[in-house]
This record gives sequence, structure tokens and C-alpha cells, in this order.
Amino acid sequence: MRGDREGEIERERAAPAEGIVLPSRALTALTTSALALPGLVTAVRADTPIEQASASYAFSAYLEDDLDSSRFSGTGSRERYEVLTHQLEFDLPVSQRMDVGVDFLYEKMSGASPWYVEASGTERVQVMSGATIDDTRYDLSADLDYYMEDAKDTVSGGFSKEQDYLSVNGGFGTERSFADKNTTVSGSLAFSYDWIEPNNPELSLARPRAGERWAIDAFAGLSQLLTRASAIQLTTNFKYSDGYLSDPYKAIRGIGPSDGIISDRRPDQKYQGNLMLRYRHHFEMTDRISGSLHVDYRFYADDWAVTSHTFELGWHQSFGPVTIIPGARYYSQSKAEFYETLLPAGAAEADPGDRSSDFRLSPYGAISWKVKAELALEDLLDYQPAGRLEGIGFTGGLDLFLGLSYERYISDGGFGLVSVSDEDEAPALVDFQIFAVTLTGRF
Amino acid sequence: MRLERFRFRAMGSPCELQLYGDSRKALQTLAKRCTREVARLELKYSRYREDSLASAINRSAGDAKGVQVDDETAALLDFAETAYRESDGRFDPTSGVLRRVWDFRSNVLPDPEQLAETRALVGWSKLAWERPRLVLPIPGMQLDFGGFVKEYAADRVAALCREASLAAGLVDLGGDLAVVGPHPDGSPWQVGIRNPHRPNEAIARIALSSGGIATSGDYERCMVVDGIRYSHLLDPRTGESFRGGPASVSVTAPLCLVAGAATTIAMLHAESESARFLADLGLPHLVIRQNGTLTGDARLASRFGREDDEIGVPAVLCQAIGQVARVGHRLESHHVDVE
Repeated sequence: MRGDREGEIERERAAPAEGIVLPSRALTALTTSALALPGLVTAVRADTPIEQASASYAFSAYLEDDLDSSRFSGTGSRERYEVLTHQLEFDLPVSQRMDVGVDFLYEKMSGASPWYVEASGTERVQVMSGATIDDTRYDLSADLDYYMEDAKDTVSGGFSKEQDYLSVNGGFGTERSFADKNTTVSGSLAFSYDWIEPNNPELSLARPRAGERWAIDAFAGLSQLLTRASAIQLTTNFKYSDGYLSDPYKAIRGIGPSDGIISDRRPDQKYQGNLMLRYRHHFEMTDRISGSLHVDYRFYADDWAVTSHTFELGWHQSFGPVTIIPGARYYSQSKAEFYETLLPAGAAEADPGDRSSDFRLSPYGAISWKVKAELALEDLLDYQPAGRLEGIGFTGGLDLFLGLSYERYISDGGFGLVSVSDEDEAPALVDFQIFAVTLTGRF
Repeated sequence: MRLERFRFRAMGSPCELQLYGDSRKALQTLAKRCTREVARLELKYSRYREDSLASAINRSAGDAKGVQVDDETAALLDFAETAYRESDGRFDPTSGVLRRVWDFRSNVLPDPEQLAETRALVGWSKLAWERPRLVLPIPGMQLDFGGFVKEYAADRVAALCREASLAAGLVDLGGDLAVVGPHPDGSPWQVGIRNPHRPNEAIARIALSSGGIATSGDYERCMVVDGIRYSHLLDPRTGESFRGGPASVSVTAPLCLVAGAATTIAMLHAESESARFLADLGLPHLVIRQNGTLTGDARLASRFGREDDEIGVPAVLCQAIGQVARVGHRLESHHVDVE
């Protein structure tokens, strides 16, 4: 009996039920009117907003190594920056077509920062700021995504406040998918305005009382799915900044013993651009074990003559709910045209034009490595959300995601792609580590 | 690839989604979107809810200004009008009002005077439908979407799943089924057809790899007065309980909405003409006569009994039509040995 039944099912599979029947006029009329119903024929797939509400908290500690005593002038504090960041983020779907994200950040900074460079014999040594800088930063930003068929638009805005600094920004972005979502192009335009009022202007050497700058940033990207398991993305962005671009807390001095110390001064304009190529390849090993390779390269250039290359390699290995992500990055940059550790003798007294001893404008290379572990705990709860909650993406479950990461970064003049002269190597080149914890709940 | 089943109640019926996908999470999220869509349609078209659009339309009866409706409702009304025209009045969403006088629980026939009054409110040709404005000119007139919104909802949910790139799945809204796509191995879904005389048993099985299937039967409710069986199927053309029709009709069509309208219309044909009507319409079908024999498309149904067998063999035990579909292509493991 059983055998017979199974045989019958096999036959049915071989010859499916739909016969060839010519439709009647009446059926044509019925079908045509039914097909006119919106949403029954779906040739194009709509992009969809996030489905579930989520909240996440992240804490990170950015800790710079103390300045090496061999590079320290003895003036100021060797204890460099420490930044503790707390971040809260909420994402809510607000309709079938929209979601909003709100991001709040609180940052506490302390430590001394490099001020200017001195000569000690043939060596260059760093003078640090005397007083420990203590500052807090608050940052609030929000974005709204609107989804259409195969497209998404985003508007965003935010502001950021520190004791000596206020910034507002806004932007608009759009994304369009083609060829069954195998190709996505995106573009965005963002604007920012910063107002800077340096602390303790009386301390300084022509430290300005206030300055302002604005910037406009344009971005374009193209993503292409190459195979089922690999994708490539090419992005470029171009930014123009105008206004007070100097660092009020940095200075530069002449090489001569009697030379003065003058403030950092940079051009009032900056054009910068970069080109980035990302490649992803996914390897499916078993049902629960998979890995993916991330390879990134970025080229950067600006009209201050800084160019840089970044290579980054990452591997995402997941074993069921656990993902381990080791990664490494190499970075090399050339110096800005007005960068010098020390000005030529006597130059500080004559107006030397633009100048800066900021190590971030110096020629150097950097290596960093990072490891991150993620744990996904899905379906921890099953509850019936109240109607109103359901409307904003509470779907009745709870997923928790825990992330832990550690990164170590070291930089040195000798790490660069091009050799750096002793006169040019900044003694303040920084080494740091970052510890971070992230906890995300999806409801 | 895993098969996940999601059961819920909506539109007064047990419903089930069977969806194939790689991630349980993604399927759950999709299932939630599907149930929300069904709930949306239920809220919009239920005549039992005062805040529904259907109630707003019915409240407007007698108002010459009528109501202006949205695109979705307009398309449903266009469909209803086509079905009304093509069925010579057998498909008529204005006939719901007849239930006010036909009470099948009472075992009492309606008062002829009241019935005549109510019949005056029935007839699609009495309303004025000109997109986007609908006018129910007679006070007391009612429009009932209940006869086709569940089928439409099944199609909508299947479309929603396909939009989400789902390739394999079956939507079952209380026996109105729409296929998202066949099983991942390409085999069709096996849908059980309920035995009209023993509603807990399947009488036949239909293999379906695309489109939708709907079934109408007169087994749901009836009353016997003075030895005469009055089926709950009311004929919009006469206002009377329809007699002489088949016991059950199942139809497959590219859309469940079309299948549903076809079964409704076929049920209001004489038993001997019902199958011919469907054959003329050009839709694969299965008609179960009152005596329990099957007619219809040989390609469509795989019978458990032999041709023209008396029905009543408990071939497969299942609680409702949907459950065989639920068992799906693992039906073979679900057999009860039959002597």
C-alpha cells in the first residue's frame, strides 16, 4: 500500500497538474481585472527598510602610548591622549517605507598633546602641552531612510559640541540598484560647518580667538556582485574645505637657539579626494561554518601634497553564533608641502607663510592589527508586543549581539613606502590601542 | 534550505505559511510581514469592524455623493464588476445583506415579506461604480468584500514573499491557497480536497506548482425545514437558498482571486452544468457531486478512490483541507493504511 502511494506521488511529480487549457474570454476578463490589482504582479523587488527595532550601546577606550622618553623634550607631559567613548544608537522602522536612526555619542578626552618640536643636538624632540587637556564631546546625529523600488534615499543631520568647538552637518544620499540588484550605484552630498573657539587664547602665540570653516563632501560609489560569493565596490569622494584649517594647539619653532615659536598656520582651503576599492569573497564551508575575505585598498591625495595608500586585509570566520575577525592594515603617507619639524634659522621672525609641525602631516607609515569577536544570541525571548510597539518594529523576539575588539596601531617614519629623512621624521608619531565593547539588542 | 511553518488565525480562519529559506530569522521576519499584510486587509475590508473601509462604504448607502476609494479598493471593485458581468449575476458582492433574513441557525425560513424587501437591496447593477467613486444609492444596501478578499490576501502574501526573493513556499489562508513557488526540488505542493460529507477527510489531492487554488462547498452550514435541505449558498439573483448545485468545487488558476470567483460562480450552477461551466472557462477544476462522485479535470486530481467511487473511505486523515497541504511533499509519511 505504502509503496503504491509513493509511486503515485512520483508520477505526479513527473507530470505536474497544469494542463494546457486555452483560456476563455470570460477567464481572460477575470484574470485581466485581477492582475490590475496593485501589488499582485511584482516584477521589481522593492528595497525594504529595516524590519526590526534595534538599540545598541558601544564603549571604546582609545589609549595612546606615552611619548617615548628619547623623543621627549622634557617640557610638558609625556602622557598622551586617552579618549573614552560611549555611544547609543537606535534604529526604528517607522513605516513600510521608512526607517530612522538616532545616534548619541559622549566622549571624554584627557591627556597632553604634541605642541611643537625642538632640536636637541641632532635629534628632534617633542614639546608637549603642559596642562592636561580635559574635554568632553557630545554628538547627536539622526538619519532617515526612505525606500522605493530598487532605491533608497537618505537624509541625515547632526551636531557635535566640544568646549572649544561646535559643528553642524547635514547631507543627502541616494542609492539605486539595477540588474536584479547585482549593481548598486550610490551618491551623496554632505555639508558641514564648524565653529572653533580655542581654549585659553591668551596663552598663545597668535592663537586665534575664534575661527570658522565649512566643508562640502561629495561621494559616489558603485557596487557590483561578481559571482554568488564575491562582490566588488569602487567608491570615490571629494571634499572641499574652506576657512580656519589650522590647529590652534600646535606651534612650530625655528631651528636656531634664539628663534621664536610661532603658531601653526595652514592654507585656508583644502581639496582632498580619495579612491577606494573593496573586494569581498565569501566561502561557505558547512551549514554553520563560513568565512569571508575582505580586501581593501584606498588612495588619498590632497592639494597640500599629502598622498597616502592604505591596504587592509580581514578575515571573518564564523562558527554558528560566533564570529572571529582578525585583520591587519598598512598605511603610508607623504608629507604636506608646508610640513617641517623646525623652521630654518630666522624664518620665524620673517613671515614664513604656511607651516606646521603636526605629526599628522608628516611622512610616515603605520601598521595595525585587530581582532574582533562577535557573539549572536538569537531568539532569546518570545513575546507578543503591544500593538503600538509592533508598529515601530518590535516583532516579538529578542536577539542580542555582543562584540569585543582589540586593535594595536604603531607608526614610524621608517614604515613608510618612501624613506624619510631624520629632519622630517616627527618625534610625536603615535602608537595606540583601542579596546571596544558593543552590545546590540534587536527586538 | 529549511522549511518553516507559521500558523496564525486571520479572517476567521486558521492560516498557515510554509516558507523555504536559509535563515530561520529571515523567514520569521518575512512571516511577520505577511501576517501584518493579512491583518491590514482584514482591518480594511471587514464589515464587522466599524472603522473599516467596508463599513464606511456601507454607511454611505443612500448618500448620492457616495465614497471615493483608493486604488487597491478600486481594482477590487473592477474585479467584482467583471465577475458579476461574466457570471450573469451569480457573483455579486451586494448579496451579503441577504444573511440578515436567512438565519441558518434558526431552522426557520425567512419571512417572505422581509425577504422581498431585502432582495430589493441586492444587485450590483443597482450601484454606481465609476472609479474612484462608488455610490450605493439605496439606504441599507451593503457591499461585502468577504467573498473575495481572503483569496486576494493569499495572492498578496505570495507576491510579498516573491518580492522578498523567496522561491519556494505556500500560502494557506483558511483553504484559499496561493503558491509562492514549488518545493526546492521542483516538485509541486500536494493540496488535499476536503470530503464535503466528511469535512475532516480528504477526498482528493491536487498537485500545484504555481498560481492558486480555492474551494467552495455547501458543507459549511445548512438547515433542514420540512424535509428540505437549504444550503447556506444564497443565490444573489433570487435571494433564495440555491438548490441543485454540486457539493464542492475546487479550481486552480494563475491567481487565487480568480480561482475563488470561479468556485463561487460554479457552486451556483446546477450540478450537471457546473463542471461544463468551468471547462468552458478554461480552468482546471474538480467538482464533487452531492452523491459523492467526482468529475472534472483528470489531470488535476489524483483520487484516492476509483472513478465514480462512493465517497466515504477514510483515505487520509486530516483535520481540514489545509492540513494535507501542510504535510506537503512529505505526504507519503503521513499515510494511514487503508484496507
